Amino acid sequence: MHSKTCLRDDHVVMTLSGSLDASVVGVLRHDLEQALSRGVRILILDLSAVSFVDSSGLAALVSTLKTALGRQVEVALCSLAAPVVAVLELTRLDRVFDIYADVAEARAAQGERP
Amino acid sequence: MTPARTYRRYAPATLAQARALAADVGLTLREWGLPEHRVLGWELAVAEMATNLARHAYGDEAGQPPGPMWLDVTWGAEGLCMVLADEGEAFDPAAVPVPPAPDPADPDSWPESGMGLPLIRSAVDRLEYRTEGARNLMTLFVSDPTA
Repeated sequence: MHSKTCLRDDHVVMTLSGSLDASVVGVLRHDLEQALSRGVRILILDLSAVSFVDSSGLAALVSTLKTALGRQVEVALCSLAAPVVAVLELTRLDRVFDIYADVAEARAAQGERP
Repeated sequence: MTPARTYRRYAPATLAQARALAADVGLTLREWGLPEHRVLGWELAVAEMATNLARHAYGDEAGQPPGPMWLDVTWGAEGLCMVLADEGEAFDPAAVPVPPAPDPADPDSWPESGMGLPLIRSAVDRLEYRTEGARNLMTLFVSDPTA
C-alpha cells in the first residue's frame, strides 16, 4: 500500500494504491488521519490504483468517514477500481460514501456544497 | 467434464501471509481460467478467512508466534472447494451475527467490524466449519465456479 497526498486550497487529494488489507491497515489509518489533520474542508480519496480491499481496509475508510464527519470535513471517493466497487456494493457501503467518477468531478461536486 | 485441479499451500498465520496466500490463490484460479469477477470474491474470501486466523486463532497482533495454516483448493466435477485448516482456537461462524445493512443517514450503523464473514458468504454457495482432532477446518464450496 502506498499513499500520496496533494494539498490544494480547501481540499486534499490522497491517492492510494496497491492493497488495502489487514496487513497494512495500521499504516493506512495513520496516513488517512494525517490527511484529515491538514485542516481542509474536503478529503478526496483517489482509489484508481487500488488493486484489493478487504474488510479491514473498508473499516479504515469507514472510520475515516466518521472522524471526518465530526470535524466537518467532507470525504469523497473517486475513480474506483473494480475490486473496490465490488466490495463497496457487497457491504452496501456504496450508499454511505459519496462516490465520483474522478477527482475533477469530486472536486466540483464537493465545491458546490454550502 | 472439468479436469480435476488442486492447489495446496502452507503458511504461518500472519496478516502479511494472509494477504500473500489470498493473492496466490487468486493468481492460481485465474490461471485455471475461472471468471475474473468471481475470482475477486474468492480471493477476498481467502484473505478474510486467513486474516481471521491470524488475528483470533493464534493472536498475531498480540505478539504471539504465528501458528500454521494450510489451504487446499480443488476444482473438479463437484465444483470448487477451498479448505483452510489451523490448529488454533476454534471459531464458530454460525455464532457470528449478521450485521444490519448500513443506513446512510445514521453514522452509528456504519460498520467498522463484522464485515469479513458476510463477504466470505457472499462469494460462495456454502460455508462449513468443523473440528477434526487438533485441527479446525473452514470449507467453502462453489457448485459452478465457471458461471
